[in-house]
Amino acid sequence: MARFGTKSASSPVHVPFRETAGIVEAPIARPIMSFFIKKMPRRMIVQALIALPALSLFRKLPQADTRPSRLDPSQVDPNEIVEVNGWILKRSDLA
Amino acid sequence: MIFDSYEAFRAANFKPRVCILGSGPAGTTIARKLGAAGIPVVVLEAGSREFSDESQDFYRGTTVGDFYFDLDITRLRFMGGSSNHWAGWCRVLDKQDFEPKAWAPDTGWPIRRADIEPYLPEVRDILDLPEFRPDVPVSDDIRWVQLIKSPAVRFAEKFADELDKSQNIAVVLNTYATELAGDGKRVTGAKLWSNGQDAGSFSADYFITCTGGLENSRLLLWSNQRSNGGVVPNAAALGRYWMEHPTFEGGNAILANYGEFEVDAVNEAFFSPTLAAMERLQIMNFGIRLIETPYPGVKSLIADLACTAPDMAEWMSSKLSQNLRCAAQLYVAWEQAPQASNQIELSKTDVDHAGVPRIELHWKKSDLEHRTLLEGLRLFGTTLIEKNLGRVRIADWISNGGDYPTNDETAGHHHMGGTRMGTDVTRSVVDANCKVHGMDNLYVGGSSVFCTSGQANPTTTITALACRLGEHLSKVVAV
Repeated sequence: MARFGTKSASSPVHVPFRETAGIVEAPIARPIMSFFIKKMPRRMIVQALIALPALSLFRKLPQADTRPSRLDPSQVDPNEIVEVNGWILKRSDLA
Repeated sequence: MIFDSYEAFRAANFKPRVCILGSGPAGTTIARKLGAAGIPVVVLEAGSREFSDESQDFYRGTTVGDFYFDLDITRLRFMGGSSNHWAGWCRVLDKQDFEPKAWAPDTGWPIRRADIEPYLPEVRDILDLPEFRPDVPVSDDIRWVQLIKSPAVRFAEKFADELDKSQNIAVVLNTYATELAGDGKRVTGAKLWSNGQDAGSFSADYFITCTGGLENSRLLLWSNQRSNGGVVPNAAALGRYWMEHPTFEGGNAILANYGEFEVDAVNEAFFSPTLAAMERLQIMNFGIRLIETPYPGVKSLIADLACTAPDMAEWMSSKLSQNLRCAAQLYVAWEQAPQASNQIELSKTDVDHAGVPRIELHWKKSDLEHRTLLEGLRLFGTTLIEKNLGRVRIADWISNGGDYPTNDETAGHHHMGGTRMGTDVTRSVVDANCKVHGMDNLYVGGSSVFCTSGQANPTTTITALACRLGEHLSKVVAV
């Protein structure tokens, strides 16, 4: 933790971040991670890590769109009912 | 008159024409009807005036199949029966619940809802209920339904005084009818157990078993076994077609305006499918209970929606800032498809203190029921979209076809079937008047006569059927 030098471990405000910092710290010996950590702001790395789980959502979206009638945007019905991640939605909700 | 022992009852030399087994909602209601008609009746109650572990122990049993409650906690064995822990939720079965359904075998009653409707004013008096209100269509598929949360009448408390003062009704406590004897045409007597020992036999012109949706089957199975078929001559369906109301948290809803629905005093509302939707999707009846979600739950739900539909989540978030009441948990209770394999059997290894085999309950939910749960939530979600009322999220385990959770509500403690009503003696035990097929003087009261369960809590229908049976017997016995 001291390596990053931006937050004091003794400050109670930052206690919740200790585990996150540990995760970033662990693979630091690998060259590729080392490159990113040197070149990218720490905030950006954290944001990227937070965004990672959401990427799977985008992978699921095309499933509803793979039917032939959906390939042509002019035929897409915005009121069509779709189920995504358990949610029952109108297609237009996904915009 | 209320007697605390069988000995005290015998000493009073009261001569009843009708013997009712069990003092729960069905037994008490039938006794009051007969007593009011001037017919002398005795109610034999196995338990005492209060709960006791010793009495409950007679109800222990085992379950085979899906997870279910311990059989000695899911019902009560003392005066007033299971009305003593009843929650008081009231609704009569729907009209459509009585109709046969082509997509679900063994559905349909030999009576219609219209046959019990004349008794509903009386039911309201007994259960202290307000007016029953008609359903309100929300869409072609979904209707708002009234589920009355009543003060939960405890039958022993409410009617003890009346029963004690009655000259036509004798309630005998601590008196357990362990078996009925019969010759294939008539019940000739009941073998009794009182104060921890055999208390001899008791006879009357008519017998009515009202010992509950599990115990009626047990008593008749054991009696039939002991009398070589002399109590239930057509026993193919005896103990079978047992049903519950499986109940699980099915997901959540975000509502544009919680005030769109009529809610009760604790901000809950109930919804069921129309018959047209059931027919189209070939599913059973269900009830969706909308429970307001606490504020932190709303926020996490909107965050979840944001991952899938950001604009919709933003709109909902703005609604949240205007009105904190905008999300709900969805609990679903549904109608089980009648299945002969869901049945009550007598244990081959375990007996109670009086030597009566304990229950082995075989209970399993079917694929049709899982489909009812999933399609029901989809119907509700689609209705909210069509009416621009909100959005529904279905729980992952339902969408993914996973196992039922074992830490959820599981079921309603509603024990139905086992001595079902019908005209086909191979698929039913009692006729439309609740008389056991082939027997002249044996009747069954309570939810064990239900052919199908509908989605509504059973006590209201139990009481209506008891009023109807009481009136019928008043005419039969008076002849």
